[in-house]
Amino acid sequence: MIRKIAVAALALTVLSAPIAMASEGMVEAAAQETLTAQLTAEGYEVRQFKAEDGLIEVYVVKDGKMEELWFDADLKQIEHEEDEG
Amino acid sequence: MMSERVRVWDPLVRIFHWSLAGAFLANAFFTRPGKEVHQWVGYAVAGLIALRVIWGLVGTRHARFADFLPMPGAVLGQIRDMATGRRHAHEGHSPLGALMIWNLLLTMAGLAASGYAMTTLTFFGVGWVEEVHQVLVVWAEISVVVHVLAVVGESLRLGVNLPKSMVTGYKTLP
Repeated sequence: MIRKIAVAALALTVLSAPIAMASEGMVEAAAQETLTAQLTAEGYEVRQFKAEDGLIEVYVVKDGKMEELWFDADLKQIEHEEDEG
Repeated sequence: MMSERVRVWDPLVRIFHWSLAGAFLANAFFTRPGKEVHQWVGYAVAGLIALRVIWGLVGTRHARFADFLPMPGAVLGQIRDMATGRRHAHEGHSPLGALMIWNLLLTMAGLAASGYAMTTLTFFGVGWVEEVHQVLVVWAEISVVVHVLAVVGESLRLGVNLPKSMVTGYKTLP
């Protein structure tokens, strides 16, 4: 009984960490520089880059509004929504 | 020896416990971070903690913080009990249990606070806030696992069904 609960609990813990991080990654420095320059010129404050769903997600703020912008591998801005959950 | 059935956990403590457990489970495994459902569950956690803090001051005997303040001496006593096979069941939280409750309350409060911070203009997209939130998630998961194992272990060691007491409100003490 205890062993079963222990195994289940540990399995959940071990499995959950990768789920949270799996889809996120680093964005190349060159891409970050290009996008930062471009977005700053457009009046955005760039907060963070993430590689997600094979795209680049950029956290930006403009005129007190928080937004996530998405770019493809060629740094073209695209419409994208994270999966609803 | 006669066993004694003692009322220990009032309904608010029990509803709080299972609601918090459900909310944490939901946000750790089922809702997607950054989405509205995840945020609403987070607000619910904050509300639950706030309610519990008030109840910790004015609630029933074993619900009060004063009943389970961290007591190093008592903690050592409980560890000594475990090592020497002496059975001493506690009506309310055991000394080690109390430490876990404080840990979980503070961790959940930290999760709610860091999660909320990410939705504010000041901390939106700020990396370290997100990292704090993620580290707290892992810490909370480890704590929950230890909590569950300890509850099961102590139930067997003491012959008191502790999970059941968090459902019915009563402990049957030997």
